[in-house]
Amino acid sequence: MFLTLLRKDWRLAKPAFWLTFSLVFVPPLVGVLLTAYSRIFDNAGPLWRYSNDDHHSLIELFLGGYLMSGLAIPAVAASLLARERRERSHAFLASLPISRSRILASKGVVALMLFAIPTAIAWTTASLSNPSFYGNARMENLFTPLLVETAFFFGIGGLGWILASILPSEVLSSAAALVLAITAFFGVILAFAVVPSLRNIAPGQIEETRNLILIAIYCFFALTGITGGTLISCLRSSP
Amino acid sequence: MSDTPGLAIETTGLSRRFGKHLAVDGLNLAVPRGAIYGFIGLNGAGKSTTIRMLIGLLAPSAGSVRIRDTELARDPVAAKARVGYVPDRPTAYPWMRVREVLAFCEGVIPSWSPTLASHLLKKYRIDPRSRIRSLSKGTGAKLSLLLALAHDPEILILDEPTDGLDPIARDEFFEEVLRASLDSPRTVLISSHSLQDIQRATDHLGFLHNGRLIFQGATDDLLSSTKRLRLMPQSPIDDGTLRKLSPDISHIAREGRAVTLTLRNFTPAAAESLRSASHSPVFDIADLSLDDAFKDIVKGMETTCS
Amino acid sequence: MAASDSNLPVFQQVADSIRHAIAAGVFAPGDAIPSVRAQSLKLKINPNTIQRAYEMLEREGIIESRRGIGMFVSKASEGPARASALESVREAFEHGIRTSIAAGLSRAATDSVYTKAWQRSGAKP
Repeated sequence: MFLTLLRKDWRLAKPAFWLTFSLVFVPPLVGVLLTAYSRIFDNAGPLWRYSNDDHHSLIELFLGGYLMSGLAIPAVAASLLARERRERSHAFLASLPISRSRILASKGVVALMLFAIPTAIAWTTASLSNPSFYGNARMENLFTPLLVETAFFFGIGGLGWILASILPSEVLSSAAALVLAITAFFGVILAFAVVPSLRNIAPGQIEETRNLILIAIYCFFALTGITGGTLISCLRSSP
Repeated sequence: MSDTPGLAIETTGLSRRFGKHLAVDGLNLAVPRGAIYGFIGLNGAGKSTTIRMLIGLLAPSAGSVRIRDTELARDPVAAKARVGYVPDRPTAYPWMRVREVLAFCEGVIPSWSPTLASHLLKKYRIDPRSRIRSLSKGTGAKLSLLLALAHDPEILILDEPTDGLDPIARDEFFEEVLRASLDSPRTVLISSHSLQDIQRATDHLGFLHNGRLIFQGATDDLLSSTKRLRLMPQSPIDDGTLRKLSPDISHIAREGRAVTLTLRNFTPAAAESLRSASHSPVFDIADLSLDDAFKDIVKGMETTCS
Repeated sequence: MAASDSNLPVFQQVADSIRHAIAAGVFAPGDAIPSVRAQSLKLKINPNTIQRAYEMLEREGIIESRRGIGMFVSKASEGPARASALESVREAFEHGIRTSIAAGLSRAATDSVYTKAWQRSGAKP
C-alpha cells in the first residue's frame, strides 16, 4: 500500500525533480563545452588533456550546479503538496480509506529522497578533491561554501514545503520560497556591510562568520519549513 | 438517537463556519439504509460543504458524522471504507491513464475488487489506455462512478454528478446509479440544485436552504402533505389574517380575486376550515410538483424570517 | 410513458401509465408486465416508487403477482380497470363543476358544455 503511494508521489514530483536534477549538470556541461571550444579554436593544448586545474574547475562547476539546482528544489516540494490541491486530486485521495498520516508520510519520504540525490552528487564530487576552499566530505573545513550550499538547498526546500502547504499553486509557492531564500542571502551580505558589530570582525574571520550565520538561517528555514509544513498539512481541513 | 438502527448516514448538529459565514448550520441529516436520498438546495445552500464533511474532506466546526455505526472523526479509515464518493467533476489524477488510476486504487484500497473494476470498465465503455484529463465529461463522470463503486461500498455519495452533462449522458449516468442501487443493498445520497433532475430517482429528500435543513423525509410524504389550495374569498382578506388562520400556510399568491395558498401538513378538514373562515364559496385543491413544493417552502421561509 | 411534468405523485403516474397501456391493449389479460427492476431502469424512477405503483394496481385487482415469476395483468382486470377509470372521470368532473360554480355558471349551461363535448368527440352518444 505504502509503495503505491510512494510511486504516485514520485510521479507527482517527477517533472520538477528532473528539472532540479538536470540543473546540477548544466554548469559542468557548459564548462566542458567551452573548454573544448577554446582548445579547438585557440590551439590551447590537446583536446583530451585533463590537468589538476581542470579537475578543480570541474568540481567547482558541479558545486555551482548544485547551487543552481537549489533554485528548483522548492518546485519538488511544492509539486508534492500544492499540485494535488490545484488538480483537486486531494479530494479523491481524501475520500479513499487511507489515513492522512500515511499520505503525508509518503510525501515526506519522497521529498527527502529527492532532496538527497543532488546533495549526494555534490558531496561525492567535493570528496573527489583535495581539501580546499570548498571543503570536502572528510569535514576538514566545516564551515565552508559546500555546507552553506547544502543548508541553502534544504532551507529553500523547506520553505517550498511550508509555502506549498498554505498556497494552492506550486508555481506561486516555489517562487515565494525562492524570493525568501535569496532575500535572506543578500540580507546577510548587506548586514556585514552595514551593522557595526559585524564590520568590526577581523578580516580573516569574516568569511567564516558569514557562512556560519547563513548556515544557521537556512537550517532554521529547513527545520521549521519541513515540520511546520507537515503540521499544517496534517491539521488543515484537507491534505 | 445515535444508535437508531437502519440509518446509513446520520449527522448531529453538523455545522461549518468559514470566517463569519455559517455555511452549514446544525444539520441533523438522517439517511435511512437502502434509500436513494436526494439532497436538494440552491447553489450556495451548503450542499458541497456538507458532502465534503460527510466524506471527511472537511472538518466540521461543530457536530458529528456517523457512517453506519462508525463515528467518522474517530475512525475515518473504517468509515471511508464503507463510502464511495463521486465528485461534481473528476478529481482522480488527470495525468494518469485510466488503468494507472485503477492500479493505484487496487494498491491503496484493501477492499478494491479488480474483477468488479474491469467489469464496470467494460460496461461503461471506458478505454483503459486513455488519459484521465482527455476523457469527455460523460466518460469522466462514469469513471468517477466506477472508482466509487469498485470497492463495493454500502454507501454511495454523489455531489452534483450530472452537472454539465448533456441529457443523454445524464440519463445514462442515472441509469447506472439506479443499477448500482438495485444490484446490491446500497444507500445512495445524491445532491443537486435541480429537483427536476433527480426527484424521480429518489425516495427520500432533504432540502437545504441557507445551511439549514428545511425538510427531510420520504418524497411521497412531502407530496401528500403539501397541497395548493385555491380560494375565492367573498370579501378581501389580507395575508396576515390568513396566516393567523393556519400556521401551515407556507406561501400565498394572489391573482385578481383568487388566493392560492401552499399548505403544509394538509388534511381535508384543514382545507375546509380555511374555506369557511375566508368566506369562499368554492375552493380547489391541487397537487404540487416537488419543484413547486420546494420553491414555496423556500419562499415561505423567507417571508416568515423577514 | 408517464408525463414527468404532471403534478401527480410519481407512483400514480406510473400506475396510470400501466392502466393506459392495459386499456390500449399493450398488455392483454394474462400478459407479464415489466419487472420493478426493468421498469426502474427504463424510466429512471426509484424502484420503491415502481413497487408502490404495482402494489396499488394489485390492490385494485388490475395486476396480480405470481410468486417467483413476476407481475401479470389479471384475467379479471376489466372490472377493476373500469372502476378506476370511473374514479378518474369523477375527479375530472368535480373539478369542472367547481370551476363552473366559481364562474357563476348555471347547471343548464354546464350541462350543455358537457353534451357538446361528447358530440365533438365523435363517440357514440
